Amino acid sequence: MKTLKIIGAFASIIIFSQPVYAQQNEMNHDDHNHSEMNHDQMNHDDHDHPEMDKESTSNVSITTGGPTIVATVNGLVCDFCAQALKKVFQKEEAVKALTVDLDAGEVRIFLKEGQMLSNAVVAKLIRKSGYSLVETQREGGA
Amino acid sequence: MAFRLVLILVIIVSLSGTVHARPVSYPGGWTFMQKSNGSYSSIHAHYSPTASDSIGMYIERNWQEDITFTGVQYNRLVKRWNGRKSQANFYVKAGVGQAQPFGKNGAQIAGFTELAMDWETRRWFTEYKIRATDYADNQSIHHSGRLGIAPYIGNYGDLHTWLMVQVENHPESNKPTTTTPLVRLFKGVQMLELGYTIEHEEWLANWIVRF
Repeated sequence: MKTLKIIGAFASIIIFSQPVYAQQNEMNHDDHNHSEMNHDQMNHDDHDHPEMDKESTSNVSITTGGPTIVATVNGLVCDFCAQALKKVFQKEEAVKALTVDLDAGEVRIFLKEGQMLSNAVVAKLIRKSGYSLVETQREGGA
Repeated sequence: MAFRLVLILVIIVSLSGTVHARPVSYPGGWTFMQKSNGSYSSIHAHYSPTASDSIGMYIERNWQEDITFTGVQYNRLVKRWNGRKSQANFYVKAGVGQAQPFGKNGAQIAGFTELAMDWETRRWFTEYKIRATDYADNQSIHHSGRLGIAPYIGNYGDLHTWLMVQVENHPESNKPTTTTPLVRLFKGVQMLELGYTIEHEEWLANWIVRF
């Protein structure tokens, strides 16, 4: 019986290790040097940057001046919170991308050109995610 | 002496009204939770139609009572307090189904209910829950609490690590109070917990993933 319990306990470790390993294989930027590279001249078509979503989308507003809403949100303490916001906001037609900064307690909502989200809608979506809006700031004509 | 102080601190903090479980996801989200320790192994898969409710199936193999429970579980986030740098939750959970005593004929209607509370910041974590079960001829009430600290603060997408102590009380057990130091690893939509229950000399392994 005890052996069975131990096997049960470690089964989850084995299951868990597979997706983690898969994620590590998706992006191998630690084993080569980028210091001589010009990022703007690189070809990004043949590889993915799934974990670089935050950084890449943060630059969208800076480089294109796209409409962005910066929402200060209460209750953001973990990745599950961030995931909830992403899932809810990405269903909105007007939303191009979204990043979450847990340190600042901020959500940056990048809108598609010509689209808008009112403060009331932003507050509603944040509430729907399970959190509460403190304030919003708008950049790039959002 | 130091161990006793830590234990007392855990109990005080836990009983002050904080517990963690996260049995509810975002609207439209699925969650798979697997738990295993010396007392039981369980699987709970649920769907959240809103950020306040989830419903799913729950299967538990109770090693202590030698019973298998299979049923439907409903979780309700009764109240959430969103602070600037903190979050607290109060949950009610209930399950109904059948309990099959191992080695005996005939399943019986069974169920459980649980109250759970948690409070956490990005550095500190506390939780408390009380659970009442009626599995066939076995009724019990048990309490558990946790205190955790994050040795470093990671941002979204980083690997988050928590060091925790879990204290459980099963009044009817021959070792009513148990202590389980554990490590929680949290990255993206996955969470893994590994621990060791000192009194029972049993391993704990919990895994949660969200879709």
